[in-house]
Amino acid sequence: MKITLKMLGTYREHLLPKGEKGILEVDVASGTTVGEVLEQFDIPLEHQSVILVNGRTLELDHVLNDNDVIAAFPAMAGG
Amino acid sequence: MNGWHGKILKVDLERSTITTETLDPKMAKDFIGGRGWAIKYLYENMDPTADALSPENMLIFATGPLTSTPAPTGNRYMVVTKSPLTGAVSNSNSGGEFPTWMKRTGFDLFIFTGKAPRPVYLWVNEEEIEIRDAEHLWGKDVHTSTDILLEETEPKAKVACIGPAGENLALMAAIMNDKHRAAARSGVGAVMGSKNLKGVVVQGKKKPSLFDKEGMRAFSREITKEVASDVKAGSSLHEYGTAYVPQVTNELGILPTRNFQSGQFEGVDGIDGPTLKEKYLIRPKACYRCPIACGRLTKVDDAKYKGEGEGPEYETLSAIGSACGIDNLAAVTKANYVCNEMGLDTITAGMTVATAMEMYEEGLIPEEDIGYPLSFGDPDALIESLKIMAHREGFGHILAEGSYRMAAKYGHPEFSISAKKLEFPGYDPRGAKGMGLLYATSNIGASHMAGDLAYAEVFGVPKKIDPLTIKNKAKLIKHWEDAFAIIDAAGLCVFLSVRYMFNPEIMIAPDNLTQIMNFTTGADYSMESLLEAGERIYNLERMFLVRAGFNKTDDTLPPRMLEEPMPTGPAQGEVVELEDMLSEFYKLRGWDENGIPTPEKLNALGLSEA
Repeated sequence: MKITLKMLGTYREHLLPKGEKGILEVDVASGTTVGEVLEQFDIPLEHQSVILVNGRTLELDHVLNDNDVIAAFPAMAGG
Repeated sequence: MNGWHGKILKVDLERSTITTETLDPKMAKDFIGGRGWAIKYLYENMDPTADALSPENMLIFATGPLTSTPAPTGNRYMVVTKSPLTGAVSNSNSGGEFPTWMKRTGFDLFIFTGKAPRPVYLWVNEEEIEIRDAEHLWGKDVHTSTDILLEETEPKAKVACIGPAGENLALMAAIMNDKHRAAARSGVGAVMGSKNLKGVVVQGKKKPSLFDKEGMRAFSREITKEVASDVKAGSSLHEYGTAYVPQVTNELGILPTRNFQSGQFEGVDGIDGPTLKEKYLIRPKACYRCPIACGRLTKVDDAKYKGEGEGPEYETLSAIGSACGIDNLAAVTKANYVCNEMGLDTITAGMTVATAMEMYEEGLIPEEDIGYPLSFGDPDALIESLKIMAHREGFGHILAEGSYRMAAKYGHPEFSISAKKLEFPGYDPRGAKGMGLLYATSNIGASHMAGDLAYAEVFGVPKKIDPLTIKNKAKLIKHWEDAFAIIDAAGLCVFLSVRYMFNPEIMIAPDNLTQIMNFTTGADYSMESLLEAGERIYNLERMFLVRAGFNKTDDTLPPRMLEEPMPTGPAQGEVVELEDMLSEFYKLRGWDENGIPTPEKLNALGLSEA
């Protein structure tokens, strides 16, 4: 199934060279969790990252569905 | 005294007299400094029901004990006064260089009373203090005024001044310092204009003494090292400034779009940090000695929107960009320059135009009143609106009153997205519930700076919490409002303080901040006594509001937030369940059900005479 990765802020670089502008569509096997996908792209999974699935705050062991969008960015004081 | 100079400069503009006052050390400790000292003076020396634009209002510039010390980001000041926009207290915060130079004059606070018979400016070079004529500067923009003031005083001095917006008493006028930095919110610039005070110029070499110099240095080095390692690892704030945020809030579905009609903007790619970096960034710009450098020095070459200056920051991208439906970054950046030159708060200015755009499209404000079409997405109409707002020309007279008075004049105050008449910043609270409670209860109206729980709800600092639940939010907001009062009173920047000086395990208890306050002042704060001081400041501000006639009915949000579910995105279907959070919040604060601090609470905080 297909999911979309959206890396924001300085995490954009984790998707280069394929994912220009911080966006990349990837194929994953059914049953794959959020944490497993992010590990493949070296996204820190601990408290230094904010991770959202379809804009919602979910646990890393959340099992992905077709067309899910995972967004991640470094936890950092904001606007 | 250490950290504090313990000296206050009092300027009676009516009589053109200058006096100084020394401070009682107990009062210094109990109210920390900055915002804390200022509300103490305001509360004891002015009638809270006085007209904010009358000579009875006081205008206070306040530094904190950590301002101009080696504390990282110890370079903030607050402007405290009664707000003409809200009728509540105002505490507007700014960085840049001015705050450090102000402290180096040897005074912690400048207090202005009365109204000068003619335009004047204040020049303070340590003991050399003069009220000087400013007739020749009246009508001039912030940049020109700053250049002339430096020529007339000392090239290395620092300037805070108003532009045409403040002179014309536009209720969203800012006080600009170092040309591009703003003590922006709730019309402090209009108060300065009402006093005929064009500018304040400061110079000096009097650094505050430190109680434990070595301890302070070692501690500050550690924090700076931590920040530097984050910057090296890739800090979004350093890399993109706060302009990285539109993509984040858009992803959460809380980016203000077309006057908060929705929370996702189809043009977000046009106004985000990478676009700013690629097209217009000259270099990051730091406030004095700040290791983060979130400011942006930018230049637009586009013929129509040509200019050079600082910004835009996130709040501007939101209020002037997505809230007005504008995705043209050159135009938004130009509009930001116009606000800086005129001396306008970009949030209230942008949001007032956004409200006008919605009411124009709904047929509630006729085109003949405005003089031109004012639709969402029209950058030229936006820029024109900002100019006439600052000059109070034509429809600008109505815009200059802010979104609430404008919408009420046309019979529909519900179109104003404001709390206590202060326009919302860039987080739609339907998708960040804690922010909803904050906007409703903040002593200055809808400000994120009063206890910015978006750090946790949105940015994961000090740790990520669910933005859509109301569970635990009353407790967190109470705690964060008190904690932000400490940061403001101390003279620090919130960006650094929340991440590096508060304890994430117990959500924002200021353990590192307690240490740095003690290294600086030697005042022997415990974490408890520091938190109590924050609560004391917050409650005294609330008592100012109570005396000015505010109560529970003012602790509310516009109907759009309470009754209109978010139409799309991750927060779809959500409203702010304010009433549930509010009653819990009052209980935690020790206030009665009408939102008034009880005598027991005031006694416990040493405020029995309030």
